[in-house]
Amino acid sequence: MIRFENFRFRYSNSQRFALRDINLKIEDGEFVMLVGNSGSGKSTFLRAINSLIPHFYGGEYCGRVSVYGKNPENTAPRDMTKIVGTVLQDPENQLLMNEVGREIAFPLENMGLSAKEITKRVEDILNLLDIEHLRHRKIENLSGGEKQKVAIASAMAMHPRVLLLDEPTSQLDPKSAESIISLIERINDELGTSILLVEHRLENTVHRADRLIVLRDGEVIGDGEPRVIMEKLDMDALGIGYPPVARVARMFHKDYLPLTVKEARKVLEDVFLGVEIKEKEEMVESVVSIINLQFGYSGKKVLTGLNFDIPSRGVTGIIGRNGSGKTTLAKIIAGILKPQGGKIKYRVKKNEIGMVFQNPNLHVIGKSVYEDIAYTLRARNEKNVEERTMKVLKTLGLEELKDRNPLDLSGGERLLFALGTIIVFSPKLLILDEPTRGLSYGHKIKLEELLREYSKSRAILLISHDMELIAKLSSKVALLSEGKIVLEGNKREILSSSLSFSPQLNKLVQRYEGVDKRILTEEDLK
Amino acid sequence: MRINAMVVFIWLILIVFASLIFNSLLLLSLLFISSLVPSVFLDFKKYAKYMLYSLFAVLFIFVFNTILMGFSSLMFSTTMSLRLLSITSAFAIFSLTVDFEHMILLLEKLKFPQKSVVSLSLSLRFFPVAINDAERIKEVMIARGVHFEKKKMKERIKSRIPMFSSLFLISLERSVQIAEALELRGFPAEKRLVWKPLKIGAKEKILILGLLFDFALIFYSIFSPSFAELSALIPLIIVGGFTK
Repeated sequence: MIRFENFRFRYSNSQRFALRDINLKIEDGEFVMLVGNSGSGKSTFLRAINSLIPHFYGGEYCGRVSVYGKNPENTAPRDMTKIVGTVLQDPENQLLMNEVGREIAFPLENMGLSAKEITKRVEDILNLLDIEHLRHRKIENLSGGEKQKVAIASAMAMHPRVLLLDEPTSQLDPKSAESIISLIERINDELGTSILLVEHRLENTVHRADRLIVLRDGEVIGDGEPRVIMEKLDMDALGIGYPPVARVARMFHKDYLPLTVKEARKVLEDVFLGVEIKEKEEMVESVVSIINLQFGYSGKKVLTGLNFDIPSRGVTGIIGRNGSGKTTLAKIIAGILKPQGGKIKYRVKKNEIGMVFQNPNLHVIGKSVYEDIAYTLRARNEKNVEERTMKVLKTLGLEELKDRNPLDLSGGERLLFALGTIIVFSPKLLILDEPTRGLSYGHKIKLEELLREYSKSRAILLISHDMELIAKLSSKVALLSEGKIVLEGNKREILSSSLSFSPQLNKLVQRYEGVDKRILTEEDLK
Repeated sequence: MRINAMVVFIWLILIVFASLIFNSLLLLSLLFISSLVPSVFLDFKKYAKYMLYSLFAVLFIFVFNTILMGFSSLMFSTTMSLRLLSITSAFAIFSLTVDFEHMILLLEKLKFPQKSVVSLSLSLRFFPVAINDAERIKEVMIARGVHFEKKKMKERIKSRIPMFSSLFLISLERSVQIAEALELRGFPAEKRLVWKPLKIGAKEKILILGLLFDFALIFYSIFSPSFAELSALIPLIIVGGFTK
């Protein structure tokens, strides 16, 4: 059992307490989900259990924590690993060895186990998690989802009583994320390992948890059965959000809060009746026209005769599975990579195209938020640097953080900062590659507002696995597969009545008779 | 074909040791042959590439010595060149047979401190990641409108400074995360055991004994030339390590 008694913690470089007055118990075998906005104390909570606090992160430590009889305050992290396994957010930086087998064996070697016992445990865990085929693979050649599975395997090989997972799916596409969440559920079900999961994505996750703990500014403001807590608290106002079906149920004041599409089928049957989608198709000229585009990396073809037009206004969404060439296409359009065949007709200058990368850290130079954004204008020899930088900071809501180092910002703020380093020169075509990965609901809403406003007068090319975002913002959607655009058209044509691309709400309406099947998001019901 | 890293390591030390002890043209020539023969079991193109670099150094030795001391230095230049070629050849053989992974196992076997070994292993793991970061940062710079190619050399260097700053900060943040992950994997350990240590079988033991015996023989050659030629050829027993 894990027990917190009057626990408080303040990091040594901070004025405020990251966690305050924590009093709770987590029973053996529980599946607990921990949610809260950026800076609410979720990661600190986990660090207080695996004893990184106070041994790795020092500060003011008050109260008492007990983890299966051990006190983290006087137990070093290496001694805690036998009880607590931890999986971190970034799949890249937590894998330390070069080969999967050696990675799983590494903590066991540190435990001083015999070679025979290590072999047994490595085989055991590879088998349990169905990743035997990865045994001899090099870590650098694994996909993000595979890396996260190996990280889980490495933590589970120590036979911990509790597994802590700090946003393990935030860097993954929905399909990989789903397989990780299912795996975690299986570990909890079959092995009885307690789970403490910090997660932003509530759909497909929250219904699996036994218990939901909601944190705000370091305090527990909700703790109990997920449905009860989500009914009691306004999760949107807290910046946490709801699964789309649950939000619709709240919009229509339903007594029962469904958390999955299955649960919603009976509850929400009547809310879609009479809703009719009326949209005028606007003809807009193209900003970029791509004809028969070819590209490959060291002999491997990625784009094979791709044809595509990007309208000069509005958001164009690009969807497709991992490795289908979406990012490569974006880099070619942005002029970063050169096409190996075909033609691209630009109706803007190439330096009027900007691209925000998947990893916002790549946009950091490191002086300050202000200086890093201003750098773009200076590097381009543009005028009115101060005025334009301040205007962008105001638009992004980062004015108060302008003197901070970008690396001190939260994940969501960093994304807005990265966006700022590009929109400061007002590109006529803005390309965004997976902008919502790991973003909290609050920051996602902010990003949506910004992009909606920006797209009124300029073009946005949005690459995303987030079908809700694509459905909300795009007017045109294209599906990339096998190096070609295989489907393109109005978002409702492409995203409705699909088994895998439809957003959650459309999956729900697909089953109802007499309902407009083109409904995609809750905004269509307003 | 993989040869045991420990055998090659001892062989390498032996070649370096012998090339420093031997002075005669004959012995150094025999030693060079001993250091050259294992290349037939390896990627000869790669081996030749390594050796090509040392040929430039050989040329330099000859030209430099001839200018300074005239043609009387030819003998000296030849022995120095043979020394250099033997050592380069031995290192080329070592790097073509022992990959980084086995190098780490070798260091573990040689009881190097665990922190140094794991640090070395981490550098191997994260070097390609850092290279990838550098490429992505350059792409972001292009996306922000910085064009490296169009500028003059001075401006090009100047425009790369923010790139290095960015790479440094990302690496710094990564290093904190790696440190955190190491702690959570129980490192550094009080008593760490290696899962699959470098195995030294009967054949390897015989080869190592042979090489160690040669150390003694080479040392003996300083005082008596009786077995000197033999000692220069004994390193050839390494060929046994390449066969099954």
